This record gives sequence, structure tokens and C-alpha cells, in this order.
Amino acid sequence: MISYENYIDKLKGVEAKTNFDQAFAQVFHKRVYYYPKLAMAAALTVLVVFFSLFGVQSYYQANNSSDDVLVSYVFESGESSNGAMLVDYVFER
Amino acid sequence: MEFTLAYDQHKELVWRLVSRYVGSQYDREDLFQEVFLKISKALPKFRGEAKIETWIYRVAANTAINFVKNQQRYSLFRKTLEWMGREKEEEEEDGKVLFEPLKKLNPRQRMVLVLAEVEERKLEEIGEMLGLPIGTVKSNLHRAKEILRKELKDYDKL
Repeated sequence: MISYENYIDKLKGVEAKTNFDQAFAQVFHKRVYYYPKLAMAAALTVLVVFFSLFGVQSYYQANNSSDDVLVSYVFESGESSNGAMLVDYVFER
Repeated sequence: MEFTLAYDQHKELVWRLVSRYVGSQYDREDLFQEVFLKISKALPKFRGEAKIETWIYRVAANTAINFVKNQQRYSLFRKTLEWMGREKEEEEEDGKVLFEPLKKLNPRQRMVLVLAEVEERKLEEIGEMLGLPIGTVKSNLHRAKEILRKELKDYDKL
């Protein structure tokens, strides 16, 4: 057990060291290089995601285009919409 | 004021505050750089309405509070990283033991306690730094002391 007052004294006595010159250089480096690069990387990511989504959508539309095909059927003589077909037709995509 | 001058005049003040606020050397250095990065961006807008020292304290204190909040938010990710680098963490065992009780306080209570009790700043000044009314500073300090006293009662690692 340690008293509150002693604990505060221990905190006051913390003597951590650092290299201030090195820290300054790192701050400068982050300011000049890191954040502009980060912003550029973020912008590029957004563009890549946008074009990927656009590509996926185009691919999807191209592969499901048969939904939009209008099929017409011409009855042979003797055929009607109520009766059976006289010829077997095979529809291929 | 030029950034280089601000850095030279206040680097020790900021380092002392971050050293008393977080226990790991890695976090201290990270936080210290974060504080001066913010200062370098905000310094051109500083109009001299407050004392430069108070303004720097304000930036440092708020950056430190957000730093710890973010650490708590991503604690699982952080624990994984700590586990991966556990040998490095073991070297900082003394710091961990000293700062363990402080972790029971929320980031704002911890900052109020460090500023008031360790840095010996006036409550009005702390209110100005953290943008809090004096009543809120007092209640945060009272609660922080209460939690810490209770925590230290059962703490036998120091």
C-alpha cells in the first residue's frame, strides 16, 4: 500500500528522457512528407474504389443484358398460341 | 511566433506533461510528436489572446486526452501489438507499475489530476486549458482523487 501523497510525489519524480533534436526532425518529417502523402494515398484509394465499383457495375450489366432482349415469335401456318408448336425450336443465348 | 522558437522554449514543458500523463516511453514520444505537429499547424492562427504557455498547455492537454481515448477505443488492436512486442514492454515494467492506478481514471479526470496535483496548476487555469467551467474541474479532481485513493489502498506493487 502507498499513500496518495507519496504516489503524487512519485509521479512528480518521473524523469523520462528523450532526444529533442530527433523528435523535432520527426515532427518536421511528418509535417512535410507524411501527411501530404497520407492525403494523396487516401485520394488514390477513393479513386480506385470508385473505378472498381464502376467496373463491377458495368460487368454486371453486360452479363445480365439478356433481360432486356425482346424476343419475337412468328407462328408457322397452322400454329396458334393455344395449340402445340409444329416445330421444336431451340433458343440459344 | 516561429515554430522553431516555440519548440525550443516549450519542449521541456510538453515533455514533462506527457511523461507524467502516460507511462510507456513509446507512447510518450508518439504523443510528444503529435502535440508539436498540432502546434506547428495551429501556430500561424495563434493571436496571442492567451499566454503562449497556456495555449501550448491547452494543445498538449487536449491532444493527450484524445490520445488516451483513441488508445482505449482500439485497445484490442493495441493488446495484440503489445503481445507481439512483449519483450520491449517488459523493459518498461517500472513505468507500467507506476501508471497502472492512473489508468482507473478516465482520460479527462487523469489530465485534471496531473495538471492540478503534479504540475500544480491553478484550477482556473486548468478550466481555461481544457475549456471547462471551474465547477466541472473541481468535480473531476474530487472524483479522480477519490478513485485513486481507493485504488492505492489495495495496490501493493509500489
